[in-house]
Amino acid sequence: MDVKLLNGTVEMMMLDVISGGPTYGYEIVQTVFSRSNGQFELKEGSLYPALHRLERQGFLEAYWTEQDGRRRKYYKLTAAGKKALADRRKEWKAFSTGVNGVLGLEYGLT
Amino acid sequence: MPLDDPFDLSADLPPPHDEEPDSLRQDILDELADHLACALRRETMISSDTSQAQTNVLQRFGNPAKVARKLWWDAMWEKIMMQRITLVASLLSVIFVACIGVIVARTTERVKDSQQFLLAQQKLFNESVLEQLKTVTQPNVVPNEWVPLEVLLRDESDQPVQGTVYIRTDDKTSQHPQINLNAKTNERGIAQMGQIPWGNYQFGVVLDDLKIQTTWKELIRPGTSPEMKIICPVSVPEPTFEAKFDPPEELISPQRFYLAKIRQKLQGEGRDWDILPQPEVTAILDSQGECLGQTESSQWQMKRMRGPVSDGRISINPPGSPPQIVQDIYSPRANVILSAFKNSGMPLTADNMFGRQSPRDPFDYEDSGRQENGDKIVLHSFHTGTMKLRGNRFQVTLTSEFNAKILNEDQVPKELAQSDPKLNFLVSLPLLPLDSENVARGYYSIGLDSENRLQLDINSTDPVWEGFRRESQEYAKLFYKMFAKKETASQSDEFPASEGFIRPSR
Repeated sequence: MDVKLLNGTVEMMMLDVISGGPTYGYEIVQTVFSRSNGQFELKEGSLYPALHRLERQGFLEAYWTEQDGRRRKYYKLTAAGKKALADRRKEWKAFSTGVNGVLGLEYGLT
Repeated sequence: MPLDDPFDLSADLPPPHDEEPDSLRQDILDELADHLACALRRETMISSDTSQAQTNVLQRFGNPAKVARKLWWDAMWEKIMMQRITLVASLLSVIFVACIGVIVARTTERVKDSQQFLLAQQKLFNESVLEQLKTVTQPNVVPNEWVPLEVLLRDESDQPVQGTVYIRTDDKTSQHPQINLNAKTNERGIAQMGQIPWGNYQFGVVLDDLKIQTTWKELIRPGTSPEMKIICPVSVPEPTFEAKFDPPEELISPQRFYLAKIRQKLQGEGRDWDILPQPEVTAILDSQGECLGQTESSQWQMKRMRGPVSDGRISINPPGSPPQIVQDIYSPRANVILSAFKNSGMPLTADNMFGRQSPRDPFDYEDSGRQENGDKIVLHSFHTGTMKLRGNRFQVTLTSEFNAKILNEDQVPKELAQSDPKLNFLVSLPLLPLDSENVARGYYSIGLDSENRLQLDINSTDPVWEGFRRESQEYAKLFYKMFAKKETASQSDEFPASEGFIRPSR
């Protein structure tokens, strides 16, 4: 899968996972893996640069809690993050519709 | 691998940075450690082999130290880059300034070299011009027509005399420079005046030792002798005043008296010398030319002044030491004022004395006054004033020569205007003002009544006129003596010392 397409897709999926409520890195990875039926089994370490980038862009904000004697960083979506997620959903829908149309997937062709 | 950090997360972290946030490093480690702990717990539940579990975690996560390093760099990248950019910019600025400095220094060096080259060229040029100028004849700075002049001061035996010579331009319209030179004589009695342009000049010689000076005017032009010789007196003789006094018949009777201020002049080699300061004498003359008295301050000796009667002239022209009369001569009894004898031998007839109605009469004086009414005469430029005839009384009021203001009738003191109507004349002279703005505030009056009794009035209440009061008393004494001698034999020769109105006893 193309790297750029994959990065954009991963960020969209991360925003979507976080839009469900505050969550942390390991949980995001597990949720993505679970929802994708194991299709996106990426290096887990590569998740964090993306999370930090989204945080610097103002799409996420973070806070710390104590869990089992460890500090845990939770992320939640900002208003800007919600808008970005909506935009990317539209783009993805248009993109996937176009791709599916070309590939005949929309009409059940194989 | 340490127990508290089984995945060695901080192994690749860069050393602490100056601008690194305090919690950045720990936050990264805590976040990744939480993830790895969660993953290890899951793997441990799947596989009881702890080592295998860690291997599985690392296989799924990747290299934790590299991830931590990347997170740190991502967070610090902007600040580090800005710092580096600033550092590079600073270095570039220093290099730029250094380059500018080098360029300026090299440019200055080149300009300096150029200037030195130009100066050397200029010096060579100037030297060549000087060489050429040396071969050219220098033109005269002073025009040819200017006259070199030196003034020789000599006495009658041709011995040098010490003094000061001055020359001043006497022509304001001259196109030549205005000359104002002073030069003292050297040991040979020569004053070097330099070169003088063509023109009219006033010359003067001052002999400081004798305190005398002479002045004259001279035209300097091409061809004028460059040497001017002035014969100077060697002493100032004790003056003797002799007046040649030839009154016409109509002036002899009735008798008149004249008051004159006389200043001494020296004469030598046709040149008049003024004495500095000019001594002055005030004298009373009768109509026969006889001196009746003089002010006590004078050192001059008066001699009888009577000369041959000739063609109706009054002349005051003593030989040898000619005085110049600088003030009016008054004839109190004849209702006349003889004014401004500036020159000896001036014609004066009975007609122009008694019949004087206009300031344009033949009197030879500088008449700047005017006639206002029939009984008011404004006197000449030395004095202004009024003369009034009231019955048999004659009143003259004078103001000083510095004062252009004319006293009106209402300004004449009442005691003077209302004095004894039997007086056949009254002369009222002013006490001189201290400056040109003031009008005389005091008067003295003197006269004879119809029985030839002397009347004297000194009227001054202002203390500042005390000096003039004394002068007035001098005049009064002269008059008193005059009348005592000629008119009132019964009068005492001693002048009363009291002030104010004095009415001598009969």
